[in-house]
Amino acid sequence: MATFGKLFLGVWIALVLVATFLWLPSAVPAAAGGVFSSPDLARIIILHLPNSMVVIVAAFVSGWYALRYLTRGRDPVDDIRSKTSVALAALFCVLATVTGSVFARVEWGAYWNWDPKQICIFLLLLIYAAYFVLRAGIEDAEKRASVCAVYVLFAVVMTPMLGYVVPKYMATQSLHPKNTQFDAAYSWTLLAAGAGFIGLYAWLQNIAVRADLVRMAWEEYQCKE
Amino acid sequence: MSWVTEAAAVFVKEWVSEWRTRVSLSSVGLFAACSLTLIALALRGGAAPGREAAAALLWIVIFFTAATGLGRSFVHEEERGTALALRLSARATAVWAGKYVANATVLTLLTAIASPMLVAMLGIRVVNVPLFFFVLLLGVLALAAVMTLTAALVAQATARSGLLAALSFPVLAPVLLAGVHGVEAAMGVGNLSGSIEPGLGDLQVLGSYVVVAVTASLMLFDFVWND
Repeated sequence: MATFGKLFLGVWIALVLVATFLWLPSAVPAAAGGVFSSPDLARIIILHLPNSMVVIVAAFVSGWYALRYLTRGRDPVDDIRSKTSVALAALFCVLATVTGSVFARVEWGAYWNWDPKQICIFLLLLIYAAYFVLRAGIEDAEKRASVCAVYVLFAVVMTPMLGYVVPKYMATQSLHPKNTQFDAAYSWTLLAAGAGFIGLYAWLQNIAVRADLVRMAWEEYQCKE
Repeated sequence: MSWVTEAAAVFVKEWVSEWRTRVSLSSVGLFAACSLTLIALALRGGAAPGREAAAALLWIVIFFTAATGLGRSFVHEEERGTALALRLSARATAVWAGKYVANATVLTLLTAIASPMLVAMLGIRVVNVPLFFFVLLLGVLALAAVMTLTAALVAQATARSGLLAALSFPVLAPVLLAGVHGVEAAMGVGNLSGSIEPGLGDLQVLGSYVVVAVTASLMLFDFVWND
């Protein structure tokens, strides 16, 4: 079953990539009223937007397991799931930032221009970095788990406000297009890529949780020796 | 004991124990004094910065002073082993409320002294005093709400210094944005009537943030405290 899932995911993402580079038409050129100055390169959106989707999914998953940890009998496995999800959210955050910077360079002419969405993603990165510093700073495993779970939950509750507040105050108008009307080909490829990336996240999450469980068992075994 | 008396007792206890040593108060005061002096030296008494820079400087001073001072309250409990006694004698929500009010008063005092000094030092006129007052008040309430929870988290960690600022800043970003904008609006030209109008949006953002932050911080505090 697991092998089949892996195979399916691999084929799925390969198909998405093939569709992106061979099947997808280039975006509407700026001259014809489009939003991209380099319509051919706009295809990178297929590799950019799904990262942000994964960040949102992973953030909520980590919040969910943090809540479960705190309210349902403090199971260390829930803590591991929450931590792994935060790590993956951070990873996809970095990927979204890097692909977004390349995208911004070819379409707007600058890698970074403090666009509201760039600020939000940067603040998220700061939160994840702070989370891991906090985690490293607590010795006792149980205490570490509950303190980190509280911080994750607090961040999950407070960060959606960023989405409303940051665009309100940034002088630079967002260059991210609003209410973009993708043509059907783009919507379908994006949807397929989003599903593929979320599958990839689920796969990575599964591996990382299992690796951590092995590590935990090994440490326990060494303590007994 | 009712919840209110418990919370009030925690608040009084915070101030009494603070007043014995005055460590928090003096460190906060000294930190603020140092940063104000640094700003004065950097500007060499000459060129007056614009409104944007002045508002940003004011919030930098408030934020980092709060991050140095507010961390103490829970660290102190853990170090002296009084946390257990406090756990036994009051409900978690009452402890949070008492500490929150204590933190908020310290910060309000600090802001009440530091902000007029900074404004006078930079030679900037605050046109709209009521707006200036309310923006700072709501900002301080929001800062205290977030930092009361993060301070309780940081108290459990080994590397405490600096961590409070790192944990709080990204969460507090909306407050700092709205606060800077609101203070800028209060320093704005014209509009001597003193109406709240130009900064109404900022006050709305700050007010709703305070409500959300107080609720979330209060609800989550129980999990760190009764562990």
